[in-house]
Amino acid sequence: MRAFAFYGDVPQLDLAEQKRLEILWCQQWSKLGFEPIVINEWHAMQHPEYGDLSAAYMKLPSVNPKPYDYLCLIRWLSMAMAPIPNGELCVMADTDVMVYQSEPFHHYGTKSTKAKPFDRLVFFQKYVPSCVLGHRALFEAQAKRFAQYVPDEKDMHETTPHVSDQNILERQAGTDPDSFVRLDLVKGYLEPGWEAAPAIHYANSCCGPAGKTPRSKHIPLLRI
Amino acid sequence: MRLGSVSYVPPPSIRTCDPAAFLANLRRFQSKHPLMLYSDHKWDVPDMIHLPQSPEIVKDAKGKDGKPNPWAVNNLCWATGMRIAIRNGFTHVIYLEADCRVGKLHWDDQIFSEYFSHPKTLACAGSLVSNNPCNAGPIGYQKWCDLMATNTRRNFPNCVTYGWKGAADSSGSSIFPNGALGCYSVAWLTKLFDFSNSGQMAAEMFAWDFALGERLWKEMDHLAYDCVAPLQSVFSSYGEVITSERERMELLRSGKVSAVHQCKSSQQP
Repeated sequence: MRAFAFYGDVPQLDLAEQKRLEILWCQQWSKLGFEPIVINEWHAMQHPEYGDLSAAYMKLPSVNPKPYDYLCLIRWLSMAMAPIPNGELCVMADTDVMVYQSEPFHHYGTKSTKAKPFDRLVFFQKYVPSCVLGHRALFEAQAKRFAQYVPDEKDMHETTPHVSDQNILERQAGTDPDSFVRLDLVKGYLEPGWEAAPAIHYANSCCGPAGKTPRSKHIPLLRI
Repeated sequence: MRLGSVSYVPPPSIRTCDPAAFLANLRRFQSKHPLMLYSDHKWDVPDMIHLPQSPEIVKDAKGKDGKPNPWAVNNLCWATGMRIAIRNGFTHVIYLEADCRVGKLHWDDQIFSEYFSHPKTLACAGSLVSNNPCNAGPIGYQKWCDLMATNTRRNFPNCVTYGWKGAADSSGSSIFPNGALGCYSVAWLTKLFDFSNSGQMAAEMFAWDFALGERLWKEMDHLAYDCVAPLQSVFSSYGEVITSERERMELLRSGKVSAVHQCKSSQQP
């Protein structure tokens, strides 16, 4: 099974550390039998509706440094144009999500049959889009859904308007709960059960306060 | 993401290449993305950026060792191009010298397509050069072996390799694309070089592509091999030892590559 991560430059982030994390991600997913591939905005640019969709993402407000949230959204469109054979299932994961057991991913991947095709994205960390299973058409449909999103007064971070793919997915879970499957298999680092989880999300927000930065240096030592 | 190409076009008086043939070649095969040409000579080319002074201004520059720096002019041509790329908001840039030739419509898009289709994020790509691969420890050596093994059929030149350090010298290696024709992440270039002081940098620095390789190695150590990749859509070499100009033009005419370096004559594909 192919595993995809997305990379885009965010000037505020340390480029070399991002690259070291990406290399670690490729090694770990490869070790577990996946074919790791890092995609980027160029893939999204090959989509016939790239112009309209990217313009829609750019209009969404964000409290994060530009272009962080834009990239979080455009990656779904990149997945729609990623090198995935039609209908084949694959994983989209953040570069700070490390896999330690591959069975759960393959288990959900083999549930698809001709009679009951795979028709919904599977989120492995509740509605956090850190690790998602799906096929090209499902990622494309979600990418278009993001572009249609109209922010309202609930889309606030404290007093500032803010929208991210995760926020939209949380809202989507409320209004259209059957639009994706939510599982609790990927655990955040230090979250209860993280030591036995099939994959761990080593988010900056967890590793930073625990003194585990730079993450590329600490992650290989946190769990074997 | 904004893609583009930059190239310095020297005055017609230059003897090391034929800039008029280069311009004719670029007119014949249009690029898909913006192509920024710049020169200190007033060529009759719309939108060409006119430089207020010649890069030759640094030709008598001396390096930090006090000796004349033969790379200073070439370094300044490149650094000026990178400043133009930064000013135009390019996130990724193809740099080509005036002794390159392109051979296909939208040649740049074919190069970018190969660059971005690589399964890992790249700092730069092109015709790779490795210097002293056995002088940086066993992992660096293994990475070089792995790279060479990607082309066991030897059907394209993926990494020319040179060395001058002794067997017991562990002071480091480097890996980088030949600078005359390559594709670069601007974010990586601005991390490795200070373009706000490009005149002094050009004057003092050894050949910029060698410097890129050394700086990338210093930053990433053997992981530098994960930051670069050979491109099959271009071929660039220095000298006539591995290939001749006739062979390089044949690579272009046969459609095996989209762009080639070096063509000192007025030949067209």
